[in-house]
Amino acid sequence: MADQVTLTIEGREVTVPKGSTILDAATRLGIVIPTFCWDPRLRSIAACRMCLVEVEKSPKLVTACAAPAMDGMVVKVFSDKAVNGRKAVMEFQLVNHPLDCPTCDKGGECELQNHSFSHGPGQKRTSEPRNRVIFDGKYVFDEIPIGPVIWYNSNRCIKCYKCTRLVKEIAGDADLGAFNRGYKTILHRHKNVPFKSEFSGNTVQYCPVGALVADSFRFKERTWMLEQTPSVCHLCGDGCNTALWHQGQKLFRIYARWNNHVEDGLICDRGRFGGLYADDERRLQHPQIRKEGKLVEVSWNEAIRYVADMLENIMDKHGGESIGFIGNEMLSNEEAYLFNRFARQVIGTNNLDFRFEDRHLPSKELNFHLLSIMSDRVPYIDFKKFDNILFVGADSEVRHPVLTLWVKRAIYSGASRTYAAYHRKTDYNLHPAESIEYFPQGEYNFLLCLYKALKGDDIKDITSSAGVRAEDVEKWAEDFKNGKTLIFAGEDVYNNPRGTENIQLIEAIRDLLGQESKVNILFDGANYIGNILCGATPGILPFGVDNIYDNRKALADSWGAEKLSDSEGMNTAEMLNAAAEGKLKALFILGADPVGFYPGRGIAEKAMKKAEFKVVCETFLTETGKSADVVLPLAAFPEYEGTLISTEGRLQSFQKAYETAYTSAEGWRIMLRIMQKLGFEEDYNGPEDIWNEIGDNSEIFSNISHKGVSFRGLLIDMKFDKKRETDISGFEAVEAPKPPPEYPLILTYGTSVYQKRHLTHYAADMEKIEPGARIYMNTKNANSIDIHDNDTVRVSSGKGSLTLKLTTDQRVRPGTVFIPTNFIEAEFNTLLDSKADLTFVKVEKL
Amino acid sequence: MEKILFKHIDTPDQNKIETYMANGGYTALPKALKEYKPEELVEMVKKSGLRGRGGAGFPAGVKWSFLPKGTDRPVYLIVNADESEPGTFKDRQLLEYDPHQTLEGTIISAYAINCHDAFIYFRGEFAYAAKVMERCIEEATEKGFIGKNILDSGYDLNVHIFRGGGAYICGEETSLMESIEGWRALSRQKPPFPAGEGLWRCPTIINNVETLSNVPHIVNKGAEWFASIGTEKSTGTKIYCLSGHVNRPGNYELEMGVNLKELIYEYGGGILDDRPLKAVIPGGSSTPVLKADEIDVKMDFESLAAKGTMLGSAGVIVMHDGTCMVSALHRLIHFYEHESCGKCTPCREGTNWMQKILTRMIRGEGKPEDVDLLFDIASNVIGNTVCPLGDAAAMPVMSFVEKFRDEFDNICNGGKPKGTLKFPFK
Ligand SMILES: Cc1cc2nc3c(=O)[nH]c(=O)nc-3n(C[C@H](O)[C@H](O)[C@H](O)COP(=O)(O)O)c2cc1C
Ligand code: SF4
Ligand code: SF4
Ligand code: FES
Repeated sequence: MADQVTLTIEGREVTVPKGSTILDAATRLGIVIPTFCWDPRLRSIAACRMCLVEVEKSPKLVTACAAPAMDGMVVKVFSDKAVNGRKAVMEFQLVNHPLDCPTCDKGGECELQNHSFSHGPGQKRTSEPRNRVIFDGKYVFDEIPIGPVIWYNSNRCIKCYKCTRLVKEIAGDADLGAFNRGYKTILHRHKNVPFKSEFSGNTVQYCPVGALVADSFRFKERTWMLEQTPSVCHLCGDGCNTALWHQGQKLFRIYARWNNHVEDGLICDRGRFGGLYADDERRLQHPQIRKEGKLVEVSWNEAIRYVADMLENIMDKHGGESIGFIGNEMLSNEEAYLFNRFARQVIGTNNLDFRFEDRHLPSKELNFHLLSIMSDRVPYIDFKKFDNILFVGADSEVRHPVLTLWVKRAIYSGASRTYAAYHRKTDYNLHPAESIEYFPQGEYNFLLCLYKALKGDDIKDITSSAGVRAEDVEKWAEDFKNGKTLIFAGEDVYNNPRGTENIQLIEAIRDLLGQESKVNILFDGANYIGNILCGATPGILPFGVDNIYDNRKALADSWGAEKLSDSEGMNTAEMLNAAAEGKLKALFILGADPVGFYPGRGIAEKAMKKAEFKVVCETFLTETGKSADVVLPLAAFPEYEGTLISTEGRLQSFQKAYETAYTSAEGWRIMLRIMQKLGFEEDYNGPEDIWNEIGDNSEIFSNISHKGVSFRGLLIDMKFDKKRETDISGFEAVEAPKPPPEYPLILTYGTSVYQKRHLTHYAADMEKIEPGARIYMNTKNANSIDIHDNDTVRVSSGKGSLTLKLTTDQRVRPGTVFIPTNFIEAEFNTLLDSKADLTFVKVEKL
Repeated sequence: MEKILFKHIDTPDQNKIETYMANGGYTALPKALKEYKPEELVEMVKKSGLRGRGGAGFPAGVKWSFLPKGTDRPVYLIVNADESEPGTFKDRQLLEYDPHQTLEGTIISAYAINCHDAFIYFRGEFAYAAKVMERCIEEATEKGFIGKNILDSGYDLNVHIFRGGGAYICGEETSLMESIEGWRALSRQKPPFPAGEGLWRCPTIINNVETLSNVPHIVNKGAEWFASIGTEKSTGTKIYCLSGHVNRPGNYELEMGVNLKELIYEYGGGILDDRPLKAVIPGGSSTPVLKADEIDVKMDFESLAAKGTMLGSAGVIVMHDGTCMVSALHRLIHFYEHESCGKCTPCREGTNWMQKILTRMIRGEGKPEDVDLLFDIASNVIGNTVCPLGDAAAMPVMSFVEKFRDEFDNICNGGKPKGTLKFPFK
C-alpha cells in the first residue's frame, strides 16, 4: 500500500502508516526504546539522543523518535553499536547531574533514574567537579522559584525542552525560555515576566527529572509511598481526567490521567493545584445546629433527626411546596437524581435547582433547546475539522481552559481560524483570533447583526445598539460563508435576559451557514447536563422528561409514590425571592453558597434571614452556612464516587480515593438518611445502586453499568429532537445600555481562570498564584480619572461599594469594568441589584 | 592561472556598482534571464561540477535539483555569510571588496530555483560587510537588477539582509533558519532537509558566499570552462585561507588541488622564523590535523579525504615545532565548548567534559588514563549529535590524540609541555 511502509526491527517485520517514526513502529512491536525529549503531543526535536538505534546502511546511529520509518529499513535496537551509543548518551547525561536522588521529589518516578538503571554504564569515569549553574551572576545551587508555585533546579535539568515546548507549542504561552548556551543552558522564565501560564503545572508532571517541582509537593512524600485513584476534575465543565495521588486520607497531588480524547494529559492549574483544597484543615469538622443563636457541634444522629423533624414540621404546617432545594452544578448524576427524589417525592415540591450563580436562568423550554442542540454536538477531537471557530458570549480560556486547548490545536495546526465575540477581548493567545467586543449583555444585538449580515441585509442602523462596527461584522459574515463554521455559544448567551432569543438566533445563523456548520453549547459546571438530565431543575423530570401531568404520574408510579406536586416549581432566583418575601419557609442547600455568589447579595441574605429553617451541607463554612440553622459537613470529591457529564457531553466516572475525612459525609448519604427518617423506604448502598436505578429507568443511560463508564468515558447520545421550529423574523434590535451620569461604567463580572467559587481559595497554591480580587479597567478609562495600576479604588453602585486594587487591562472594553467573582472576601455581589439587568458603577481613587 | 573570484579584489571601489559593471559585472544576469530557463541554469551548474564551499563540498547543482517540483509553497534562497569557522576568512573579503559579485550570483541562483525572496545571513560581527551589502542591494535595485520584473523578464526578487547575533552555530544551516524565524538558534534534526522543509518549513536552498559568487562566471563562460579548472571532481578555483606560523598569511585564490606544501612554502613564503613544521589543519579548525610529513597532498575534496581529513572551508592553520599540541587542542575545544548550542546531550556535555580534562592537562594535573578517556569521549560524541558541530569538536580531538599521542602522554605523566604554550590566536 502506498501509504504504508514495512520495516524490520530486531528481526521482526512491522507495517506502519507512512510518516510514522521508528519509535512508533517499535512501540507497535512492543519494543521499548528509551526517550527523554520525545512527547507524542510535541514535534520531535531529537535533542536528548537517548533513543539512538542502529539502522542498516546508515553510518551513524539515528534517533528513533525523529527518524521516519522507511520501506525495507532494517533497525537494530539492541546491537552492540546501538546499546553503546545509548550508554554514551546516558554517561553524558550524568556527567553533571547531581546525586541528590534521596532528596529529589522526582525520585522513584524519574526517567533519568530509570534509564540510567537500564541503559547506563555501570561505572563512572569522571572525576571532574560537577558544573553548578550561574544565572544572573549568582550560583544557582538549589531550586529557585520560577513561578508562584513551581521551583526549578537547573542542576537537575537535562535540557529536554519539554517544559518550554509544552507551554509554547500547546498552550501558546511564551512564559518560559532557554537562556545561555551550551552546557550553561538553563530554562527560565523571562526577566520580569512571571511564569503564569494557566498550564504551568503540566511542566512539573512532564519534566522527566526533578528539575521542576511543585511547591505543594516539594519535600512532602516519596512517590512510591502514594496510591493513585482515577478521578475527573470537577472544577469546570471540561471533564479532564485526573489521577489523585494520596496516602491514607491525605491528598498529595493531582495529575492528569491522560485521556487523549479529553485533556490529552494536560490539565490547567485550577484543576491541578486548586483541587488540593480537599485536603485543607479548615474543612468543616462536625455537624452543627444553631442553638440559642450559635452554631454548636452535635452528633450526626442528632443533626439528621433534627433536620428531619424540622422539615416534617414545616411540611405539616405549610406543605411541601413551602420548601426549596438549592444544589450546585458539581452534583454527580447520582446525587442530582437523589436530590430530585428527595425534593419531588419525599418533600413533594418542584422547587429545586442546581444553578445559583446566575440570575437569568434558562427556562425549561430553553434547557430543552440547549439539550437538542447538544444532541448534535462536536467532540473535542473534531474541532480541527472546522475552518472557522466562533465563540459568542464565552470567556473560553477562563471558563474552559482545556476545551480551548483543543481550539488552539486546531489553530496552530493551521486548520482553523478563531473569532471571539464577547464584551471584552478574551485572550491574545487565541492567535490568530479576531475579536469583536460588544456592550455587556449585547449578545442579542450582536447576533442579530451577524444574522442580518449573513442574509445580506444592511446592518448600518443596528450595529450601534450592539456597540460594534458594521464592517467588522460584515467581514466575519463573509469569512463564515467560506468553509465550515463551529459556533460555541457560551454561558453569557443563555444565562441572559434574552437567552431564548439568543439561542434561536444562533440556530438561525447555523442554518444560514449550512449543514456542515455546527453549534456547541458551553457549560462551565462539572455536571450541568447531568443535573438537568437527572431531574435537578423544576421543569424537567429525570432523564429529560417534561414535567407535565402524565409524565409526573408515570414517574410517581415508577417510584411507588402517591402523587408528585403539580406546581410549576421555582428556580433558584425565584426561590430566593420567595424566601425573602417569606413565602418559602425552608431551604435545603447542598454545596451552594447563594450569599457569596448569587448576583444580588442583598436578596440572598434576606432569604436566609426570612426563611424559618435553613440546612446547608458544605465542605467549608460559607457565607450562606454562617446564617444556616444546620450545617452538615460535606465530603470532598476524593471521598466518594460518581458520574459526571462534561460540556462535551461525555459521561465519565470518578472513583473514591479514600474514606470521608473530617467526619464529613457524602451528599448522597446525608440526603438518604434524612429521606429515610422522613419515611422513604428504599435503600442504596452507594452511588452504584443509584446509578443502576438511573440506568434501569432511562433510555439515555440504559445498558451503561457504573464500572462500564470506561476509562475514556463515553459520549452520550442525548436523543433530543434535533430540529426546533423558531420564527425570528420579528426580531428587532433592542436599545443599547445607557449608564446614568452618576454611575458611568457598566459592571461585568465572571470567574477568574484559577478559581472555582470559594473552594479553590482553600488550596494553598491558589493564594500565591492569584492573591486577592482586583478590578480591571481599560487604561483609557483609568487615565481619564487619573488612576493607575495598583491604585486602591472604591467601586460603588446604587447598592453598595467595594474597595479593590486596580489592574489596567487593555482587554476590558472602554466604558466597562470587570471584577472576578470568586474572591469571597471581596463580596462582589454586594454591588449587584437583583432586579436590574445590568449594574452601573463608578470608580474613585482612594 | 587567472583568478576568477579575486580578479578585482584589489581594484579600488570594486564594491560600487559602477566599478563592478565597468569590470564586466552584471553581464551574466541579463544573459541568464534572457537566454536560459531556470531548469537550464540548474543543469549548467550541475555540469560545471561546482561544489559547496561552506564545508561539506556538496555539489551545488545537485542540491538545487532536490527542490520539490511544482510546489505551491514559496521557495527561499539563503546566502550563508555567517563565516565563523576558526581559520576561515574568505567570505568576509569577498563581501567587503567585491559584494556585487556575490549579489549577482545570488540573483541568478534565485532565478534558477524559482525563488522570489532571498536572504543573506551575515555573521553578527560582519557589521561593515552587511552595511556595504545594504548599499549594494539599493544600487542593484535602482538599476532594476532586483525588484519587480527584473530587466523585463517578468521575474521578481527581493533580497533581504539578516544579521546574526554572533554565534558560530548560526552558520549551521538549520540553526540559521531558526534564527531568521526569530527563535533561538538550535539546530534541527535532519531529515527533513532544507530543500524539502527549510525556512518557515518551506523549500529552501542554502549556499555559501563563495559558492554563489562563482555562478556569474559559470553563466558567462560556460560549464565546460569551469569544469576544466581544478581537478576532475573538485572543479574551479578555491580561496585558501592561510594562517598560523607562516610568513605571508592571507587569502589565496588558486586552482583546486594545489599542493599543500606549495601553498605553505611558495605562496605562504614558508614557516615563520624558518622553524621546522609540526602540523597543519587543512580545512578550518574542525578538520583532522595533518603531521608535517603528511603535507604533500593536493588541496581538493578527494585527496584530503584520502588522507583522512577534509577540505572543509579551506582554512589552513599552520603550526611550527614550538607549538604545544595539547594547549592548541585546549584552545580549539574551548571554542567548541563555548559555541555548542546546548541542544543535544553529547555535544553539550561532551565538549565541556573534554575541555575540563584538557584544562587539567595543561595545568599539569593530567592523569595517564586521561588520554584514552579524552579519545573515548570524542568517539562517543562523533556521529551521535544533531548537527555536525559535535563532530567538528570531536574530530580535532581524535586526530590530535592519534597523531601526537606522545605529547599527551608526556604531559599526563608529569612531563613538561613540548614547545611553548604560546599560540598565535590568543
Ligand atoms: C557548526 C557549523 C557551522 C557552519 N558554519 C558555516 C558558515 O559559517 N558558513 C557556511 O557557508 N557554512 C557553514 N556551515 C555549513 C552549512 O551548514 C551549510 O552546509 C552550507 O552553508 C551549505 O553551503 P554550500 O553547499 O554552498 O557549502 C556550517 C556547518 C556547521 C555544522
Ligand atoms: S526543566 Fe525539566 S522539562 Fe524543562 S528542559 Fe529541564 S529537564 Fe526538560
Ligand atoms: S551538536 Fe552541538 S551545536 Fe549541534 S545541535 Fe547538538 S548541541 Fe547544538
Ligand atoms: S527521545 Fe529521541 S532524541 Fe530525545
